[in-house]
Amino acid sequence: MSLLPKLVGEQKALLLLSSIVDSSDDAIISKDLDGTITSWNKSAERLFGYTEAEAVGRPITMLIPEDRLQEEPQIISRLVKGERVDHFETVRRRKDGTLIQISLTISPVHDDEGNVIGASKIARDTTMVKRGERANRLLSAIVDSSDDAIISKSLDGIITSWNKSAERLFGYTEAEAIGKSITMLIPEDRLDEEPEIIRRLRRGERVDHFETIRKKKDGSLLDISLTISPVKDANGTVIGASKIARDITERKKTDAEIRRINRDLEQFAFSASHDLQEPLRNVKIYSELLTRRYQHKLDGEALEYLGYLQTGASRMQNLVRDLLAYTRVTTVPQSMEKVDANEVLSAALDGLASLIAETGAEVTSENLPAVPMFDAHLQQLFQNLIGNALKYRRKGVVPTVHIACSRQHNCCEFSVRDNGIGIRSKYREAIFEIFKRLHNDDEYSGTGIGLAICQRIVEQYGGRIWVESELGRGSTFRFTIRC
Amino acid sequence: MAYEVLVAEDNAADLALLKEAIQLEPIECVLHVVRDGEKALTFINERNANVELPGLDLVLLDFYLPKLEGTEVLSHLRSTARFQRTPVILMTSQHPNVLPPAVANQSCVFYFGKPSSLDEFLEIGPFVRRVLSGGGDCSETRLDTPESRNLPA
Repeated sequence: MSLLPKLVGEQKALLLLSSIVDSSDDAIISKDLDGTITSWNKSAERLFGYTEAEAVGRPITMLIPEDRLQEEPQIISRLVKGERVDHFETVRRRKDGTLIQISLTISPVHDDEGNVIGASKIARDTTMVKRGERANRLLSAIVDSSDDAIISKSLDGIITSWNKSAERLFGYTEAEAIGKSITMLIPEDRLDEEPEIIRRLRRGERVDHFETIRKKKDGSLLDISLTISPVKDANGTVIGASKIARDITERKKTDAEIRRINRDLEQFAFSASHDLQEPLRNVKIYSELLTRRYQHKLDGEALEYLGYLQTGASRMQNLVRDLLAYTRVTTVPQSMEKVDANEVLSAALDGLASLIAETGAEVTSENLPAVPMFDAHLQQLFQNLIGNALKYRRKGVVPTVHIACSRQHNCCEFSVRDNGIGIRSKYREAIFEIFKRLHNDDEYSGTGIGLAICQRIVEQYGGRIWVESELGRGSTFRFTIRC
Repeated sequence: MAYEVLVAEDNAADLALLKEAIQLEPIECVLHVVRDGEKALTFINERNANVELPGLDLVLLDFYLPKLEGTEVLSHLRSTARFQRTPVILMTSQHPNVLPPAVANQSCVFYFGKPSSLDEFLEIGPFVRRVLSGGGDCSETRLDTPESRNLPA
């Protein structure tokens, strides 16, 4: 009576065990002491690629790569002594020949008398784990070898990691920095930056290339560029931040040096062109005086020579004047008040009044916007471009000039369209080079600086200037200004 | 009686034109010419120290002078007891916008931008005559802006 339920109980237990074995994610295999496989679960099939039928009765060595065959006798010798092999990291070969990294736990199987008759093996695929570990090691090597300081902190500003470059840059060792507040790096007059950074991080925003100053361990200050990204947990909640700090001391120095050199050059060009004016003035005025007072005493040839002298001096005066204007186009401040382009245009047209009257030109314009520029700069642009449109007019055609402006997404695109002689396509970029001319002075007089000035002005405002043209039909100069 | 005029100008060509332009005017002037800033200072000091000597009705001052610049001569002139309100015509080819404020804010200082054509340059003659005929008191005709070139006749 009592035997049957017990058997049923044992059968139940066996069934339960076998279903556990089959549903395990780990490969569970048993073998005898000769190394012949005696059982093979579903996961073993998945892991190694052999079906149960293919595996049972075959030697376990079919799973072992040749260079690891010596592992088996060692394992057997430990099993025979009744020892267990725990989490042995090794490599095994799948049916298709590929190698997998596994962690093996092997326990001896005893008979009723306690003799070891075989072994059960639990094999876990650790390829992904290994890959993760490798990736981690690689990442931390990258972080450590970076020239930038890479720091992480919690949202309350406590430093949680600190790489080698952070040590080099700020002077604190990893041990000194971790657990401290990030504010130890912030100079007192910049402490208000931190709450603002934290606010932005909490919103999940990134802070990009924020140029600021930080304090080193020795108290000295450092120019850095900071990029700060929020660190999120698996649920997407911001739990901290990673900071990448780049030392920009050298760059700042170079920038300052370049600015100084530019200023010197501007000053030099200004002085040079200014000092050139005075002797030129003398040449021009005295050749005029000579012509006027001694005309009756000079023969035709002498007067012709005097004429060349005067023309030369006048041309040089124009060159010097335009060079001065060119050097005066210097750095523009970041924020500018807006000027009404309509008013600036009408001032430019006043300046061109005599040329407009002389050529009988028709100058029209559309309603123009207000733009953040110095009015003198915009006026110079209009004056040079409209002046060119009138100068390079076609013979026998009433010159027309039309000024318009269209709003692009973040800039205003001005256009000055004429019906003049046009420009060959191969010259459409060269005309903006300083001193570049397409005509001799007998055809069209000029210094070759006007368009260079225009380009310099436009580029100071982060814009661009170019020309569209049809030879013999006219040209349209366009320039953009951020607005 | 002839006007006493100090001319501080280093450029011989400009000086010759200046003399010619003034001679064309129906006024009698004694021109005391110095060719650098230091000599201008010496002359001013002499006249300031010795009240027996005639005063100065006008100083024609070039902006860029050797040794001492025109602005320095000007501030020295104003530091004397005798020439605090003596009219000065500052001559320069520099744009008046770039003149230092110390100069632009002075009273009795007129500006003459040296032009690059003969006829325009000769206008310095009538300009000098108008300043001189305004008398020693220049409070009513005080013009220290570029418009001073077009003084009312």
